[in-house]
Amino acid sequence: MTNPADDPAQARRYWDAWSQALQHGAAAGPAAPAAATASPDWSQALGWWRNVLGDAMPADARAPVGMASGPAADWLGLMQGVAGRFAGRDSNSADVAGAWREAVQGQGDGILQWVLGSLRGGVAGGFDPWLQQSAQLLEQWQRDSAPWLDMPAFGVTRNHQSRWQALTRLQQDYQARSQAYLEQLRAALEQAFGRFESKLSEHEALGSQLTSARAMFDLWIEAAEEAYSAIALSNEFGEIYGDFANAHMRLRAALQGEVEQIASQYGMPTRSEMDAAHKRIAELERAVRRLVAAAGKPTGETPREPARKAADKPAQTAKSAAAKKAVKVTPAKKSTRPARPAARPVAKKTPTSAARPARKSK
Amino acid sequence: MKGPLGFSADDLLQETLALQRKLAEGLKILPGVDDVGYGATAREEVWRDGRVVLYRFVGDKPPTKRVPLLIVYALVNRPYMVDLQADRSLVRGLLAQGEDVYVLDWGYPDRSERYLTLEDYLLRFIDGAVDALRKQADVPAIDVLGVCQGGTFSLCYAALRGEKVRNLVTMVTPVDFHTPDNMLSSWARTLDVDLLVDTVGNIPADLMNASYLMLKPFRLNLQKYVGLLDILDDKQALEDFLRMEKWIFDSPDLAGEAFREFVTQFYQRNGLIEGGIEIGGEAVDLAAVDMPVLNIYAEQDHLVPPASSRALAGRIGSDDYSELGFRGGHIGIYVSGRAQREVPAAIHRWLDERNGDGR
Repeated sequence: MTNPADDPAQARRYWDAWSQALQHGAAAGPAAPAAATASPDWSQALGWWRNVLGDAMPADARAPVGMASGPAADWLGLMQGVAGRFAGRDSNSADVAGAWREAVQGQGDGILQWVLGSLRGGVAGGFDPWLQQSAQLLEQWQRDSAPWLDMPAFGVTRNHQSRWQALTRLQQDYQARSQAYLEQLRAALEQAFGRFESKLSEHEALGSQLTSARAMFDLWIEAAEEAYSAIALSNEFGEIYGDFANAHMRLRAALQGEVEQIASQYGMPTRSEMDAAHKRIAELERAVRRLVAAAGKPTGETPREPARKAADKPAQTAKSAAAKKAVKVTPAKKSTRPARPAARPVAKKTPTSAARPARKSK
Repeated sequence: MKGPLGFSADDLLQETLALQRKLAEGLKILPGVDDVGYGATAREEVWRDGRVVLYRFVGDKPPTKRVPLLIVYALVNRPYMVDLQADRSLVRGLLAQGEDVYVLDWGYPDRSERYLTLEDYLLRFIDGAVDALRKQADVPAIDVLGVCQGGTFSLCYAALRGEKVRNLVTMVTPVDFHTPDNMLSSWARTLDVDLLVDTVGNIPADLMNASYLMLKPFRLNLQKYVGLLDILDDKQALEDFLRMEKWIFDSPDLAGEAFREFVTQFYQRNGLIEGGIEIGGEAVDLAAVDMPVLNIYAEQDHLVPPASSRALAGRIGSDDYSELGFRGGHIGIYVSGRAQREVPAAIHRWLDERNGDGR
């Protein structure tokens, strides 16, 4: 890929061509087709831009530039397109929000790929690409073996077949749970359109109108976050999220079990065996530390410094006006605790804080 | 024009051309941006236990305080957030005030550390570092500044080994994990954490990051990167952005057993409020925290809602409790310009007021 620093003329030619196309569209006036005025092909332009940067980009910039020129640009470009349809014309909030809904929904789930990929572990940057790869193999295997997997298990392979049948059920469960989770995200998106319309209506008065596509985009983000937050904090979402995450882990555990089966057949050490060794080492280290501490520990508490006694200190005094404003003093409350031993065994648990009187102040 | 949109086609054209110019500038500037480093302040290793290292930070002038100030950071991100760059450094600000600043670096746990527990983190690593500092400074107790999860750790440590903690500062520290606005906690409560840890061992950093991004998915996955397009013509702003981005995703995996204990005891059982927390078989009771406490929270914190931090009020044994509300978010409290001016000075002033002898 050409380094723009090596060939600035190439970049200039591209931007000139793009600018001319934009200006040509704008010259056609407000009634010109939206695509010509304000809906440049963002994906193409930013894809070109990212490719030109290519290896010339520092490593630290590659992921964020990928996001900026990918999902973020897709959404901003989509909003630019909607803005172009209404530029220079009378409009109302319902029409603008409706056009936005139509534009987003027209992209299908593809427009949510940035979030779905991550959650499914399905794309680069997702947290569980291993599961994604394994799941694809599993689906293929299930297709090839479907009749056999439905048969009752018996004979010398009974346990293996039974395990694989369980694996199939876990895969199906995972797909169902992930679908339920996706429905929650779709519901949040749906509610976001309503909030967007409501927020747009707050800008209908002269003087408060939105003056750029970017302002529309920012307003949409605000609406989307509010809608998402309302759903994501609900008990229903929490349950569905937990079901999804737990189904994910059950499937992963079963797949790992299969890997261990294969490893043990070839005489290879398994992860479980390594974990068992690590666990023993950790427990031994802990036991040694306790023994050393017990052997060398001085009896009694280290005396406290007098300065820390509250009685010796004046009430908090701010040294400046700014400090007075910033630091809020919590009125002192009397401590009724007995002297505290250096370490308290569980058996001597003190009453929980919940059992103490309600706090006296904030 | 009537309606919510007050722009013409020409306005849109100009907006697009302006962005196009930014992209063109980005082509020139981005190749000249170096891989971003971090850490503005010189430091020296003073103690180590396995991967856990205690660093002393060296300022432009010797500290005026004799008692060390130990910063205990969270496990979920790297502690260099407190010393990100020269003009965004809590450490540098504290050094400038005369504090003798130390930071405990947890390192990157690998599979062999899956079975580290909260007992190891608190009573082995934190306690070991505290003992080393007490011995080095020849003082009976030191000052501790706990950040986020490190603040929760510090509270528990102060409850268990309070004789070694002279003053305690907590920053953006969750205490009540069940406040209604705590999205992360809401999700964590339905998680089968035993299944998770038994399956993956150490918790992958990417999994944690995916969860954090889903707290504000539109803002953190889309709007933030549109913002990147805005600064393509500003090399300094680009480097700042990339440095922050590097920190966000430079996350260690989390030791599985410690994660299991933390989620179960704090997120699911809300043990600091409801009681029942045990670390290494010892009961943790906030009433045992009897040293002066300064609790700093961020008013726009989406990770640790202010109510979660402020729940500490009235629940500790100390009669010297102060709060400082900072107008900003969970990250802004370290890196914003206002934070640089206000936070280190407030911490130093608060410590100074309690130890006016200059120590």
